[in-house]
Amino acid sequence: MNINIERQGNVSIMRCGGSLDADSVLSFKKIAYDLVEKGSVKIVVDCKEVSFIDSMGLGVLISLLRRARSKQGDVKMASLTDDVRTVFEITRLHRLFDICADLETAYRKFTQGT
Amino acid sequence: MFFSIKVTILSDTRYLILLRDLIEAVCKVVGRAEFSEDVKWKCQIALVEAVNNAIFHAHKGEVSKPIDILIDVGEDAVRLQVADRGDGFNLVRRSLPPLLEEDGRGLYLMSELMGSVENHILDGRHFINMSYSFKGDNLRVLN
Repeated sequence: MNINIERQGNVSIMRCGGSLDADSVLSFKKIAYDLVEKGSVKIVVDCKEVSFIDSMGLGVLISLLRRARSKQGDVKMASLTDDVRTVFEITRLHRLFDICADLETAYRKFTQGT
Repeated sequence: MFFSIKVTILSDTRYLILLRDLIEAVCKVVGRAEFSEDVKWKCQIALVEAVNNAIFHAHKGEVSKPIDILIDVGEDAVRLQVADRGDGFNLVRRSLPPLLEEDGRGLYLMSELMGSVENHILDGRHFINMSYSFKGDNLRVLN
């Protein structure tokens, strides 16, 4: 998986591409946890280019969410493909994560406090 | 159309992309009329979850332990088999863990996405067999 980090104000955007699975969770975790440790606790995970996710990918996202929320932050998901979104729905994680149609919506929700 | 693909991999997550690509290739051979994108991604996830289970639970991350995979395509269904050297487990209808729990969704995904899932131990190997019918009669039977 490739991950690029952008910053828009106090919101960090993780632009992810490829698969978020057992093979990539360690590298995702390292980058994501580092963001939180450095105080970036409002995170948008841009999944426009994420083609596959498994249960370990879901687990690392939950772990990131817990970390961010413990510091009064949050993680929003943006631009999920249909397949990835279905995995969230099957596992009911669409009730845990704020899943936004696109990056702009996720960013707006952070900045408008919704 | 009948064909089988047998692959043996080490217990290493680097092979997961190979397995997903194999399912993609099967999809192309069978044709999208039966092996649709929907069937493809369901099989990809189920296979990956079964192999993850073998790597992390059965083999405790010991890379040298082999995992045998069989993708068997028949006229009406595709069957996925994963064999590890672990002790097996009691495959019962799994419920989802609490939302904030980080683990425990793999077996649930397998059972939700595939038409049938069963496991057994034979000759020192633990087998998980999953199947998906092209005819759409996937009643999600857990054996």
